[in-house]
Amino acid sequence: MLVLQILLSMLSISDYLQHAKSQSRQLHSVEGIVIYDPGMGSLPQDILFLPGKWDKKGSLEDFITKKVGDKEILYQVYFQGIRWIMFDVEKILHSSKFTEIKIGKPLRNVNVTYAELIFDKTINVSNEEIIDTRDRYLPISVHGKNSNIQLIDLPDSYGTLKIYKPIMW
Amino acid sequence: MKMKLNLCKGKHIGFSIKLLIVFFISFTLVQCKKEKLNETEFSSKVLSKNSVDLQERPKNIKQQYYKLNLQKDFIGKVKQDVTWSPDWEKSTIQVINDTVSYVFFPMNGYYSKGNIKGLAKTRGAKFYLIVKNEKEFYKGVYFNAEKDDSTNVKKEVVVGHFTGKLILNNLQTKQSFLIKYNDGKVLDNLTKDQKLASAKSMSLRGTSSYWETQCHQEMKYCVYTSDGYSYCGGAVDIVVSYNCVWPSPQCGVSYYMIDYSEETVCEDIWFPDPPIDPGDNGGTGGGGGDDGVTDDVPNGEMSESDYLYTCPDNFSFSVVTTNDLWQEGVLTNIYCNLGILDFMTQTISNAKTVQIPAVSFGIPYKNIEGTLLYTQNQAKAIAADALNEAEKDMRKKYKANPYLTSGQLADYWVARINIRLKEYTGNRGRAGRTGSQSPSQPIPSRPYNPC
Repeated sequence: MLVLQILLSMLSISDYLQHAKSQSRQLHSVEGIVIYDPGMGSLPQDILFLPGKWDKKGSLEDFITKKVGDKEILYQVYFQGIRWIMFDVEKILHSSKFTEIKIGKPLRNVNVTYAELIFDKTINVSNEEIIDTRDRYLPISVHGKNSNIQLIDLPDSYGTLKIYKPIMW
Repeated sequence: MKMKLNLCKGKHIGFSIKLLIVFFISFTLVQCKKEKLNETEFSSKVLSKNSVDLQERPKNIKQQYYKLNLQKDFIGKVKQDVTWSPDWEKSTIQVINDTVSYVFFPMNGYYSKGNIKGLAKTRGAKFYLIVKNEKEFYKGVYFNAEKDDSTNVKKEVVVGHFTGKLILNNLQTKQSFLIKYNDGKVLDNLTKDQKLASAKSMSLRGTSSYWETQCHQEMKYCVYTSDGYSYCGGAVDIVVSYNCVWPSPQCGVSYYMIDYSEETVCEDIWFPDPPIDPGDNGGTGGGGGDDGVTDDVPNGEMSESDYLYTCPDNFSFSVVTTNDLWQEGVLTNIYCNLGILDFMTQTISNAKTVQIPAVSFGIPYKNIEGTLLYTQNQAKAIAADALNEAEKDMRKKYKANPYLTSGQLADYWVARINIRLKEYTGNRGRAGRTGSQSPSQPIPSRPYNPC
């Protein structure tokens, strides 16, 4: 099912990449851990994203534990906006393999997967609003090990999310 | 002057002589006052190495810097492990002409985290406090790379005979300027008329369309620091990356972000009498390194794709002028559900639905020579892109002020769709609540249908 969904999504992603190339858009892709709360709608408004390349030698949970231990920053990313680009994003997200960890206070289960996010960071017309840069620390529990991770809104320097591309693991 | 002083000491003689002396004294006093005025005028001239008050005037700059609390503009937005301060002892003065001079102070970054403290080594860019005519304060960032890549991001920037870009961010007005250099010389391609228009737009800040069309969000640089001493060089590294390419771990230490900047840069706006460069204060060094997180997306091959990624039912364009110059499409019943999502408590607050009854998209089809500019499928794709970008803009505005009404957000969304569409089409397209009034054929209209 996942393979089929990925193959289908590849077609639309490929189309988008061709369009972006023809329009000289500057895309960049970032691999990382995607955390979403299934209790907040079938197409999450926001996801959490922890950038980092995973060599898949250990478990995804081990990789998350390492990233949290390295005091990496977790980004809150506006996600539902890509429905204009990927009409099937909801299906793709829910077809992706996931595991569960706990976050928040009190701790509750959320889904975690590994994916590639593609952003458009072409020179943009600014809008003047400032992103939320307050220091927030989110409790996170992986395999029963509790810790906190810094959470901020995704800096605008990443650009605008265009593509969610699941990675098989 | 000696003679005048003697006159000031005139002796008592006959009455007629007295009158003469009074006249001369008055004349001399006027002359003395004039001398004094000339002296004042001289001291108000631009600061140069030859200024008689060279020792005093930079001190005033320092006092002004702290009085205006400008150091806050150098504080990292993400982490505050690095404190920036001007090196007041290493100023460089540059006289451009009779009315403009600059003083450059290199900015030093001091790292302090746990037991590790000290002066950090900055690579990828060079920071200066640049003061124009002792009253305009700028953050100056020199990048000598056209594009960020793994080879130049790690180098120290050489500012002597500088080739690259300088971002000048006025710390008081927050305006930013992008100035390009080649071998220390400003690249200035503007005509005299353009300069006059730019100068006018600068004096009418925020009101001139010229200003708006010339300023765009250009520079997105990020500042990273090594998490402790780099084992290679024994110092803490600060890496400034144009376009925010995250440095890969070097010599056993990883990097984390401490600051970022996204300037609305005014390119081709004439910046009067720009600085040259502050001279060479450092050599080259460092090496390249692959970025471990961010990669460029490989370019795909062009094809006659049908743009499958857009909702097939959402967009439809058709040519609406008899000369084939213009195509339009309307999307109706657009909506977006928004809420302030708190991952800590799993709550959504201030939830609202933003609705737009209809948006009309207009994009060129052919030019007057008959050359195809945008196919109908391309128009669909560009419209989808504009909606996506503008929705993000609108959501950002909402997050900054969740109490805006749905109507206010809808208006903002429409305005941003128009801006984004213009951005994508080189200012040739447009979007708004209404389209062409007298189309040559009906404009296709489709309701938004989440696929």
